[in-house]
Amino acid sequence: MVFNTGSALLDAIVLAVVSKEPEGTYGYNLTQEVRKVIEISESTLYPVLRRLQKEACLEVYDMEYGGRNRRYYKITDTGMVQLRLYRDEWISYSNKINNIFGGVK
Amino acid sequence: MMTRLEFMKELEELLSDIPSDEKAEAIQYYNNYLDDAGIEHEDEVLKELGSPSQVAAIIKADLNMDAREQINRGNFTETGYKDTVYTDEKFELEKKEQTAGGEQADTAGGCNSQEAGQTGQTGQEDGQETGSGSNGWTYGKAAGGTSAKGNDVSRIVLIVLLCIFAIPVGIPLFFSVFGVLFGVAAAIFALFIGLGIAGAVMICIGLSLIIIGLVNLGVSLAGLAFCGSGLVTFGLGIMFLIFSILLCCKVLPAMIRGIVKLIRLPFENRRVAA
Repeated sequence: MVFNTGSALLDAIVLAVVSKEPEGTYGYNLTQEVRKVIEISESTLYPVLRRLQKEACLEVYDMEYGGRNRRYYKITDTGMVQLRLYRDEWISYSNKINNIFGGVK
Repeated sequence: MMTRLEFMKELEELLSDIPSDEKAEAIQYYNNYLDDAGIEHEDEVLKELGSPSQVAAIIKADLNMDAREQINRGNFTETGYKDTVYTDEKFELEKKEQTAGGEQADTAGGCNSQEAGQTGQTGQEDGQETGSGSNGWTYGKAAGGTSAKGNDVSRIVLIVLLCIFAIPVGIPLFFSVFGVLFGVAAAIFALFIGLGIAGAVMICIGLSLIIIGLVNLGVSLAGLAFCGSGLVTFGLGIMFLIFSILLCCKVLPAMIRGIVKLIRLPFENRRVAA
């Protein structure tokens, strides 16, 4: 992709993907979902998830799967507030950009 | 090609200097990750993850940034969040790139470095010159910089000229402003101290008046008048003293804080703009 994904946008995308699953999702699945949209390396998301977890936007819990514990990430109420904020910001931002590009012939 | 065991062992060693809970968390995440990827994807994922040192550098970079940005992060407001986080992030990334060298600089930027690889590629396809190790931010800067370069130079020349021409006016102006500020501060301070001294003196006078009054009480009625006026003066003195102490303790520090803030204001704006 030509355009950079800033860390705020990456946070927003991660929150949005996690919020799609009511029961939360796990690191590998999350990475694959995000990679469908933007090009990130497999090692990019761990620090993002950890930070969002510390900021109480995400909560984690372990659930058994195939005889081992799998860590799930789930969005919190704080995370939802944050996500809506990001979404509104994004809508206004992308509208402005679209308007500018709309004038290009 | 590294096996999973080798990868995890090396990562664990590289993370031995971060807090143990952070380390455990990261190790669990990557163990989980490789489990979920499954054996069939293991080699592919290991290749994609990069070397353990790269993975460790990304984890550590974010931990360091976390400590420094804790204040800015996490308390986004309705209007201000985007600006502070975004500019600070940019600032940090640029700084980090300057401090960390070579390979580490590339990984330190996390998602941005990955993007940088992409932008770098497309940039070269277009025949544009970009630095080989540039990350997204510097790429953006370089692209903007080439067109704005001429502007920058002329602006610097203008500023230098302005400074030279401003010297005859600026230096006296600076000193007079400084003098006025100093004078005002001294006057205020003297006023406060003066109030205090007046209070103390009045207490002394009041006390002596009372004593004179008490001594003369037996002799004449004037003694009673002395006593009365002495008490009034004593009371006023205490009031003045308390008022002065109050001013010195509460108002003065507040004023100083205000002035310091005022002086700092232009510098802070500059820092954000940079």
